[in-house]
This record gives sequence, structure tokens and C-alpha cells, in this order.
Amino acid sequence: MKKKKVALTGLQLIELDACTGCGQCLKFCPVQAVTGDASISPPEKIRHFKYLLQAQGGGVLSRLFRSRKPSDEEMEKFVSALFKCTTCGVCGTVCPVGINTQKLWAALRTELIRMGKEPPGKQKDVPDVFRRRKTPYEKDVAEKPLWRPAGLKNYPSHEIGYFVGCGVSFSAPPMALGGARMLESIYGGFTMLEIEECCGFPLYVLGFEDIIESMVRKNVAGLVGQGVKKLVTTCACCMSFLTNNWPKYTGGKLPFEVVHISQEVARAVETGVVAFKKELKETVCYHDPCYISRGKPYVVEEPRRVITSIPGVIFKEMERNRQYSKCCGAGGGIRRVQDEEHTKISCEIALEVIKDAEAEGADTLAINCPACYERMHLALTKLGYETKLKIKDIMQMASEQL
Amino acid sequence: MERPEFWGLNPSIKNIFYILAALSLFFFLIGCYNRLKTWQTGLEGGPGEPGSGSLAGFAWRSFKTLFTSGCLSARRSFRLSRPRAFFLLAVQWSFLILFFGTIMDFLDAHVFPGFLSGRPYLVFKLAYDIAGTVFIVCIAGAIIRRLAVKALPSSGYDYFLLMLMLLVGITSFVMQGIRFNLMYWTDEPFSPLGRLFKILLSGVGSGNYEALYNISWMVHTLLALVLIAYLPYSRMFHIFAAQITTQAAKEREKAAGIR
Repeated sequence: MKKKKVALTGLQLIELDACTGCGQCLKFCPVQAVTGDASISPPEKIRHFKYLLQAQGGGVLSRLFRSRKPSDEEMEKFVSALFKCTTCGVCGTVCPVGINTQKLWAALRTELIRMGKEPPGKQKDVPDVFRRRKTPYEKDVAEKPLWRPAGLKNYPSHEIGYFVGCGVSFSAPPMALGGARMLESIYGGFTMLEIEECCGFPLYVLGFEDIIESMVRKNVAGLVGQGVKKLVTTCACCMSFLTNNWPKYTGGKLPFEVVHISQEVARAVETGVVAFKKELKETVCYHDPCYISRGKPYVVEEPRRVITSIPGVIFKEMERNRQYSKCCGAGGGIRRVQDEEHTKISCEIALEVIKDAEAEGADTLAINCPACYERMHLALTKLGYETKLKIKDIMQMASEQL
Repeated sequence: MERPEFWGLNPSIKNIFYILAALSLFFFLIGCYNRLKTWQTGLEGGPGEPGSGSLAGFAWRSFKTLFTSGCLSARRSFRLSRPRAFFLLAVQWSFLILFFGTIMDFLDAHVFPGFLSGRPYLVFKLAYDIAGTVFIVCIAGAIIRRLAVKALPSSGYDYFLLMLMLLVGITSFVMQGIRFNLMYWTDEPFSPLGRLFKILLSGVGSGNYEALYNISWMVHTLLALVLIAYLPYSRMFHIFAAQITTQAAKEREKAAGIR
């Protein structure tokens, strides 16, 4: 009998076998660091999932050697651990055998959902929210443009498209505006979708892949209809998903180029199209978002070039940077659980980054992702942490210095 | 001096060995086949990812990457922790030397009788002894680390595998120690740990070393055959799988522009 296809790729199944359980990743896992829970560790998640797969089938000899079926209690613990993960992927960066964990965790979640398991808390309601709202927030897609100030022109047709993203629109409006101002100064204008549905990233990362395709197709058709040749996004998660996943929903290749706004601004500064006139006498640290620093797209030098091109700025690198950067605690859908336990975990992770920036004597911590932006601000209020450190989006900073 | 693979053994033990070796190989091959079949149930990956294609393609890719410089030098591990990387290199190279040594043993006993003799044999003996010593120290270190580091999740399977490897290593030196107690051998000076075991085992079993040698040979061989049979069903299968993932990571990072 032919074996049933799983939600994992062939390489991901090999990755499950490649984990040696060496523990190199343990001291890098942000969730394990704040919770002290060993069940969350990458080798443990892989081990439990392998048990689950082995328990499902195989030949006579495999059955002889395989492990027993996980108990309900073990299964519950495993599901909880897997959905508590922020999918930051730093475990994969430091893995001696190169397991691409950032993608692996999403695939394991998809497979668990196929097996009929449910994510915790309000995570399981996310597909329903999407069907009703077309965004991961309990806010309608029609409310997305509310960040736009009067006077900001949205061209009906333009070669430059601005994909703002749900997180930027709803939880980090200064990012949206900063990006828009920078694009105006580089290109003179741009076009945006009036009904910009979610890119699909939150569904992908939670394992709900089924309803993404129609949203992607609608967005792509809309952007093509508005004449977009180059699509600029300011959200790191959108950037990653548009680059790596959208092509598979549209026949292998997108009809436009996708770039991150920091790449555009860095290029514009270097070619003299944009110049920062105002001085900013501050020490600035930059936090690399997980989804544009661990693999493709690898956007790590351009944001640094933007920051260092602002007159007066003293740029300081945090101890963990680029592909080794710490997690902000907001990723992997942990924010969507919306209970006290998960919120506390993610805020404590965010606070670690804030403390690292303080240790470098930073006045400002530059952010480049709406999830990081939202979580770090929440961490300060939620945990009552007092600091003089300013947390600002990189485009917000840049647009203020024009 | 020649390599004494089956020296001093009762002929019936040798025959039992062949039957058990065939069984062990059968379990090993079936296990490998099942693993490859499981890999085949995966979805097709992106360009360059092994996720489609034939079983032979998977096997070839795995085999080829075994000989890449990145794999042989544990390059990825050196990025973050030198002590860990040196430990990994020690395990990897001692295992490789012991593995190829076993293949040479087989060739010497069955294909080219007597090719392991004279000075080349003594060099082989010393390399084999050093690799065996390093292997035992590393595996013992791995067991202690698993016991000491509470954050490192370990199951009974992990300890079973590590203990099995440790026992295979130790029993090989027990066997040698007994052989050296039987009479003087010209390869004795080329086996420092074997000599240590000779001292430790002198007088054991009221000096009935011949019977003890037969028993220790059987125990060592049985454990080694169990290890071979168990390999594809255990975590140790990473020695094949990790070559592919390491190569895939290298290609992925190159495509992303990560130095």
C-alpha cells in the first residue's frame, strides 16, 4: 500500500532523522530561556513528532523497533510546546547539521492540524477570523487604510506598489507612514490596494495553509491590475512570505519584483536620490527581524546602511546580531493565543532584546518589523519596565530626518 | 605479524558469526529501506531540495556529501563553539577510522588474505587503537553530559544507543587484553590501551584465557552486530541524514547570500 503523503517535504523528513539531539540549540531558544521548559526545546519537538510518525505506520520491522504511541498527556504537552514556539529559527541557524527549523515548525503544525489537533487558545480561531475579516486581527480588511493621513495620495496605477501589511496597518501605524513618506521621497508616488487582504503569513505559520491561496491570488491580481512592477513591503514577515511562498500559489513566478523598503531606501541613499538633512545625535542599535535575517530573504546590511547614513548617529551592534539575532517574542502566532501565560512569555522575550540595547548604551532601538514593534512596546507596559530607550521603526526614524 | 581476525576461535563460533552477520545486515538494509521510503512520502520541495526523485537519488546524494570538506571538517560546528566542534570531530573521525578498519578486517579475512601484515599492519593497529580509545572517551563523555545537563532531553533510547556503542568499544579492548595475556604478540606495543587491559585482566578467570577469549570475542561481536542492525532504527541514522541537511543548508545559505 502506498504511504500517505505528509505535510512535510522530503528534505524536512530527512531533517527529522538528521537531528542528533546534541543540544547546541538549547541555549539559543528564547522560549526555553524564559520558561525553563525542556519540552519546548527543538530536539524534543523533533523527537516527539518522530514518535508520532513512527506510531502511525511502517513495516513489520519498523513496528518492532519503533516507540510506543504517545499518551494523550504527552500529546497535549507536545502540541502546547509546538504552538508556544515563536518560530524565530535561531535554532536552525546554530544547528550543526543545518536543519531549517523556521520552516520545519510550520510544517509540523500543518501536519498536526491535519491529524485533528487544535492549537491553544484563540490561535485555533484564526482561520475563522480570516474568513470573516481577511486579516488576522479582529478588524475588517476595509479598516486597514485608516493609518493613511489626509493628503497621502494613492495612485490608481503606478509601477511602484506599496504592500503595507496587516500588522503594520493595525499595530504599527508609524511604520506604515514612515514607509509611505520614504517611498514618496524616492519615487514621488506609489499605488496601494484599497482592499489589501492579508499576505497569508499568520495562517502559514500556524499551520492553516488551506485558505491562503485565494487571498494571494486576489492580491496578486489587484496589484497587476494597478500596473505594479515592483512591490515594496515594510513588514519583515510579509517580505519573507511574498518572496518564498507567494510564487508557489501563482505558478512559480510572481509578475512583479518584491523588495523590502530598507533595500529601496539604502539604494536611494547610496545613489543620492534621498539625503537625510537633519542630524540625529543618538546612539542607535538595530534589531534584526527573524524572517529577514535567518535565510532568504537576507536583508541585514541595508537597514544598517540606512541608519548609519543619518548624520550624527552613532551605530552600535548588539551582541547577538544578523542571523544570530535574538527573537522579539512576537512570532509564530504566539500573540494570537491571547492569554496571560503566552503574553507574559512573549513580553519577557522582548524585554531581553530591550535590555541588550540598553547594555550597549543605546538611546534608540531601531525596529524593522511590526510584530517586534508591537511586542516591545507592549513588553514595557505589561512588565512595567522603565527605560529611557526609545523604540522606533527604522522608516519612522529615517522619514523624520528628511 | 598478521591481523588475527578469527585467531584461536572455535570453528562453530565462526559459523554462527556468519549467520548472525547476515541477519544483522538484513535488519540494517530493511531499516535503511524503510527510512528512505519514509523520506519519499514527503512533498516535493523547492528547487535543489531532495524531496522528489528516486530512492537511488537520495542514497547517492547522501553518499556524495559524506566526502565534502564541510562534512569531514565539521565546518558548521566551528562557527559557534570550538570545544563542541573538536568533540564532534573526535567522534566523527574515530568512528570513521573504526568503520574503515572493520572493512579492512573483512577484506583481509575474506578477499585479500594476509594483506594486513608487517609494518602496514602495525601502523593500522596503532591508528585503530588510538581511534578506539578516543571513541570510548567521547561516548563516555556523551553519556555523562546527558546525565549532567538536565535541559538536554534524553530518552531511554538515547542511553541504550550510547551504552551499546560504549560496550562495543570496551569489549574490543577486553578481547585484546585477554589475547595479550595468552602469549606475547609483536603488535602489543602498538596497542597502548590493549596493554592497559592486559594488566587489568591478568589473573582473571584463573588464567583460562583461551575460553575467556572465545567468550569476549562472542560478546564483542554480538554487540557490534546488534549495533549495526539497530543503526537505521535509532538516532544514529543521522550519520546518513545529516550529510544531506548540511549540504542543503550550505546551498540555502549561499543562495541567500549569507557568509
